[in-house]
Amino acid sequence: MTPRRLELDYVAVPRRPQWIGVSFLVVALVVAGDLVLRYRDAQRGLAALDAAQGLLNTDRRARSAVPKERIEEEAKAVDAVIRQLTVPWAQMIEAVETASASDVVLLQLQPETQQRSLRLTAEAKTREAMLRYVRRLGEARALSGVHLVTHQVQTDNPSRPIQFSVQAAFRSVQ
Amino acid sequence: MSRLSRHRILIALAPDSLALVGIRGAFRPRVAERRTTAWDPAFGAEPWQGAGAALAQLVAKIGSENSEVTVVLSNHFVRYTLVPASAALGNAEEEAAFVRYCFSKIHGERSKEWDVRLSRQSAGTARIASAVDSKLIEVIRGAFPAKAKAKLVSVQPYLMSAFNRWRALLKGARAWLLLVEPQRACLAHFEDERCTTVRNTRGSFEGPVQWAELLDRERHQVGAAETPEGVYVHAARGLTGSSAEAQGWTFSKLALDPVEGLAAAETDPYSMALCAR
Repeated sequence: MTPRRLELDYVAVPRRPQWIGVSFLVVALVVAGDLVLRYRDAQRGLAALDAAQGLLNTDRRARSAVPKERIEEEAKAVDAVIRQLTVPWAQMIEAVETASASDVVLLQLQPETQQRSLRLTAEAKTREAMLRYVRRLGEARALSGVHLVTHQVQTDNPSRPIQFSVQAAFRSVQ
Repeated sequence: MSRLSRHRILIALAPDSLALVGIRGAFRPRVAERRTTAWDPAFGAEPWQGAGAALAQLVAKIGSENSEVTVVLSNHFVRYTLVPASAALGNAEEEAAFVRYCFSKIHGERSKEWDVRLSRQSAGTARIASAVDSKLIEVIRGAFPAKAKAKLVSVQPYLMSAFNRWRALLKGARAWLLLVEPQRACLAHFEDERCTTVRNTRGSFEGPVQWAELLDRERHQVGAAETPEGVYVHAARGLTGSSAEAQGWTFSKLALDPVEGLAAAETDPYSMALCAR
């Protein structure tokens, strides 16, 4: 082993043994290595959390701001579609067909989905035929509030038929 | 100052001369400047007064740039002794007092005016101590004002510089270290990495014959082994080859590594200063 240095300096502070510096270096490297490993683990943890958060939030994307007017329009359109879809077309047509007779001709069938009502325009040979038709409509389960709105004798026709209008409301049928 | 670009100045201070070497660079050191100054050794009441005055004049000239200065003290200015190990010494003050006591036993009252140092080598064994006139240390420190660009970083005895430079050669085996200056020889014996004797003697030691006589006397006084032991010599003169023999002793020259900017033939005046490189 090489002899230790001879320290007889009159100005400089005697050198400390090298092992002190080496020890500090080793400790510093160990601490630095530990910090690097912790930092890496923390980064990985953060990445995992970010990934999990991303999976949870896929159906919660921030939506861009939509004007209130457009939302209301869309809501109305949706309501209209829903009303159209909820009209009991089958029951309504069945009721009209059931009420039909040979002396009454149906000219126009006009549903009002918003008011959930139905307006019928027809032509009857006689006044009695017209009233029987209205009565049969009033007996239909799918309709309620059936009433005669207008009637008019077609004088320009030699057989003098009666053209009339009937108003009825949809009845919710389970 | 960066350790890579620093400018180091090494100064060897002797009773009649001063040698300065300026070295630049850490990886590829090169001698940037060198100069020697001589004066009458009889100058002043104390042997170091001429050296102190020359140093102050020189520092005033070299102070134009940042540099670190190391002063190597000739063994003419230093006394050495071996301080025996003592388990009773508790702190640095007690240790210094004991070192002073050891010097006072040899040199008497004069030692009170000396600045002493004790080496930190292996505990439990005798250790080398040195003593330098306190006023000389004051003069050297005073030559480097606090605001000067040349900073005094070390003042070390020649024995310290030489031992630290070549200590790898002294490991394990028993060996002598001989430092020769004009009218002075310093001889130390090392065994198992411990110093067993140190002698700083005034006299004429021109070559191997005188060196062998000194070694014979010293070996006789300390009772060292009669078997031949290697002697490592650092001397500016007296040893032309790499080794020499005289009276059964083999002297091996301690050579300095070549340094750029200073030819081998020009090294001798600066060899003491370069030991501290």
